[in-house]
Amino acid sequence: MATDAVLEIEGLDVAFDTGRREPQKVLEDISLTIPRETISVILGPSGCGKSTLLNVVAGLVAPTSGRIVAARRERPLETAYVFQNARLLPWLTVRQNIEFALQSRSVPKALWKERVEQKLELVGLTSVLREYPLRLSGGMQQRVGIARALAVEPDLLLMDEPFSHLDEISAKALREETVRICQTSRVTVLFITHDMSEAAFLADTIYMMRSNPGRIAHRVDVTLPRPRSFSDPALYELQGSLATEFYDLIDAQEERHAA
Amino acid sequence: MSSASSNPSVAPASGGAAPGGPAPGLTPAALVRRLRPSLPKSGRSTLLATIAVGGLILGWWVLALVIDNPQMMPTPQKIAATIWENFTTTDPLGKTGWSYLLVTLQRIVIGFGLAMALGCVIGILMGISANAEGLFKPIVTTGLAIPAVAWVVLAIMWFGVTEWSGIFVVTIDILPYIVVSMWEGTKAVDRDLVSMSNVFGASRRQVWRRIYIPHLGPYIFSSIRYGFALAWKIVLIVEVFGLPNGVGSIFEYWYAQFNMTQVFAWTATFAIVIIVIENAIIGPARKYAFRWMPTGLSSGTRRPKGGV
Repeated sequence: MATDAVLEIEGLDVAFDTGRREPQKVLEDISLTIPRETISVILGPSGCGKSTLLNVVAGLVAPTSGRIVAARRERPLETAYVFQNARLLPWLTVRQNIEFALQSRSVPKALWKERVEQKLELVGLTSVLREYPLRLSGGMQQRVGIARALAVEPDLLLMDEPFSHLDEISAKALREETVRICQTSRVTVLFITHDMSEAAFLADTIYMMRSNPGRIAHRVDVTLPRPRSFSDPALYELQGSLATEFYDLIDAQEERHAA
Repeated sequence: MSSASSNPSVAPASGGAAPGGPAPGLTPAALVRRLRPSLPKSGRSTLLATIAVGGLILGWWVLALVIDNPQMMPTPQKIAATIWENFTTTDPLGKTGWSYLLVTLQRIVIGFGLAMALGCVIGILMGISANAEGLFKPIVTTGLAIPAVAWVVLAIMWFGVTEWSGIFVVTIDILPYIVVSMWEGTKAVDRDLVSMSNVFGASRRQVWRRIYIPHLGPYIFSSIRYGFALAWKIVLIVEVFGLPNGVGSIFEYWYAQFNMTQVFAWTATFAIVIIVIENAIIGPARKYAFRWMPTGLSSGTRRPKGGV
């Protein structure tokens, strides 16, 4: 195993028992390596098992077979989740929401104040400590969600289509923030999306998935320099080729189904 | 009975409108519209409440004048004077209104408190355990179907006319409503928030303290509001059936003497007490408990869906 990897997955299979004779295969033969301080993006259509993969990495779903190897073997891989909706507790203030996560992870109380303030600053929110989430915009709520995940200082940050419910302007700003945070705070990210331009903008490595059962179809290493710009023709070109491959995959799949 | 007792600050508005009736072409809606720019949201709902209560009193007053028979329909002024007299002087039995009121209130608080405690436990259990749900569901459905009067008769046969029968009837009659409310509330917990807490590794204690209990807040408040009003009505029935020293017994006493003014005065007293408790205790407590809701939503009882 490469020393600079946070996580290595080898030959991972996941099947769910649906009560029928054959368990339903959701993920098949997934192998990938996540290098430290990079953004890996899983790109795939809805229902391809992307979220299941994230849940396996988070330890919420047990794999049927295969290996997940964490780089630091002395303790389990510590992950934190950013969800599609911010999933903040509406009756707690922003500060209390982040403290909820810190308490859940048994972070010593003496560190809370500094952690909360530091991570909120990192996501560009400092004046909302005492606000209740429902008074914030969707984009600001999601920033709090990111700050909460960062606050537990995870080895790996799992992001499950975190910007898909936001308006395009907020989403664009948050993509840029994600890259900036990843670069400045040495965070490793596993990011799920079905959006080609998002994948092209964020990724160091893109794993393109197809469904039934979920498999990795391609791996694309993105070498475009950062900071990237959405108006960069090279990015636009990459996005175009991703789209071509993506729809080819889906077409091939439909043909297989028809046959 | 006048709104002035609970809302002295807006009394002039109702005083101006009540005796002469609304000015021509000035409907309540138009009045609200006209005043709106200068009124904050809470001020507007206070004004609407004043219009409602003022309208009721006005209608009552007109009706009393038309019927013109104090034995059937006494005027509001007469009732107000009688209530004042009840609470400032002793009656033929040597007691003041406060004495009846406190006895009845005590019965309500005990019975209602027991129902609330039991109802929360059973309802929450039903919400989180399929076994508890299967076990209690038929019992709750049966309980909802039994009329309060049936419980009164049974309780008096079992416990006699003692404090026990009063408390028993209040508790047993409200219990099913509170159970249903808490049961539904528990089932409606936002699964996304629970799964979020699992992802972060929250303890069971944390999940209850930070998710279930705050989520149940609105359900607890609507149970309190509903259960309390129901408790009033039920305890009165037991008291009319013979449980002594409470409001129901004095109510029955005056009824037996065909004193319509006093029957009216005590009926109005119940209404005033409910309104005062709602506005002075339950309302402010709600407002504090739901301070996290965006303005405008905090007057509703259900919380909006989180996220987005």
